[in-house]
Amino acid sequence: MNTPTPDDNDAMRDALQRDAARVPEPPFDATLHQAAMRRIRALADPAGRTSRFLLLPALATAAAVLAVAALVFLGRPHSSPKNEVAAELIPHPAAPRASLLAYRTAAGEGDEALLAVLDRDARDLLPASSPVFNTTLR
Amino acid sequence: MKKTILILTLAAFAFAPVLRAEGTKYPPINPALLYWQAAAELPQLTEDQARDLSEMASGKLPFDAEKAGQLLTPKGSLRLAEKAANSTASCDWGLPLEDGPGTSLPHLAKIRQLAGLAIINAETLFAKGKVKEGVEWLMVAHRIARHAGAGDLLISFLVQNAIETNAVRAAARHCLSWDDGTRQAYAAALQTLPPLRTVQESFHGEQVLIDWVERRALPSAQSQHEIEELMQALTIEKPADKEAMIAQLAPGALPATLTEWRDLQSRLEAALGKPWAQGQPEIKALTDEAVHSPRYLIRNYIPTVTSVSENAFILATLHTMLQAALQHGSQLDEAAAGAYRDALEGEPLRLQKGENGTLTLLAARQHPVGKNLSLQLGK
Repeated sequence: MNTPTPDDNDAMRDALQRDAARVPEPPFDATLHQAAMRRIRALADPAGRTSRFLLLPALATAAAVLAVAALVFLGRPHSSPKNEVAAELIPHPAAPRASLLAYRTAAGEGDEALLAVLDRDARDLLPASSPVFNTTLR
Repeated sequence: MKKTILILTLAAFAFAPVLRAEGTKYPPINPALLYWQAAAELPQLTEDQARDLSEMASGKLPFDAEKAGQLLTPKGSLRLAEKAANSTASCDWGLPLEDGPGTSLPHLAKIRQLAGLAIINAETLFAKGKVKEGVEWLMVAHRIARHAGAGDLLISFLVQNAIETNAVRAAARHCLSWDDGTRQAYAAALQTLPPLRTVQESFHGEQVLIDWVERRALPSAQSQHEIEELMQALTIEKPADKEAMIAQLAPGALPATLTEWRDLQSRLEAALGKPWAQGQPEIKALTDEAVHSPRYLIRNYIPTVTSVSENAFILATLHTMLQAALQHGSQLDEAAAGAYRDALEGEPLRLQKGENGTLTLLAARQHPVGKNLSLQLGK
């Protein structure tokens, strides 16, 4: 195994790297990066590759437009039969508890039904105000 | 005698300013406010306890002193309920009737529970031999019934009648053991109570629904959102019903519907004020007219009043039966019972004697269909 010997080039490289580390690095600029890459590729192959790089973004854009159009069409409210069926299946909320219509509906089923609803509401409408009933009757 | 009257008169004059001052300092409180305070102090009942309360108050479940003792603790709620029942101020529940079908009526469930507690308290006092105090608590229940009816809606009327029926049946269970003086005093006290709300008065209050629809369905207020809200408030869910309702809301159709609705409701109201024999065929015909109306709102939102009307006559008959029992006590016999007539067909009451010493007064016909209209006297 050979031990590497330091030379002048190594000393120069280390000094450059230290200086470079002191220079603040600007944030990555994608536009600048792409422009630089395009210029490098154009210099390397000025004929065929330019047209290919222009065609790909055009195809991607067209595909995106088609996808957005499809999403907009499918997601449009009231346009889909599925949505209409769902709207029919979702029931409207019943008459509010203890309301005139709720009691009327119960009374339509007979006095017993009305009294049963009143009993239920009597239990539920106010929170517990006394601890004395925490235990059940025997 | 003259001297006694003179002394009493002078005493009344002497104390009048004091009483007036007391009345000014503590004016009578709207009973509804006191009932709500009583409701706030009601204990939270378990399902079993709530059923016991309801069934003991109606007499379906025999009185159980131990269960009653637990239901009646603490006493704060009862004290406030008694104060409310005896208040001389008019009872105003402050119902938000402008909300139409959504009008909130939470007081009805609570006042029914308070009335049940009043009756169970009376039963407890009777069981302890405290007849006078027990009678006073039955009178509290009678008064609560009248305050329950103060909403002037059919539902308020039904709750009023349910409470009053329980109070009448409770009095009937005990009145045979009362002395003549107590029975007569009870009969006299019943006469001094404010009258119960009639079915006709209560039905009149049902106009709130028509008024509400009229306000909400004005052509100027018919945005899609408002129509949807209207349907939700009326719990219209089926697509066919929605279509029918939308047709009703058309500017040309709505005024005609409202006019016809009001007219039919007025004719029903008039029929409800008639005696049973005369009013019942009219009520049935008008109800049929509503049920077969081509107008969706009329077909679905005129309340069915046939059974409500019968309920009123049944309670009137129970009052007559109690009156007979209070008048004659344990001396009531078939001949005496026959002198009283039911409020429906006007036929004489009958008397049945039970083996255990109970007496049962019966109307000649069944009301409602399939059920004897009867009042058991004694236990």
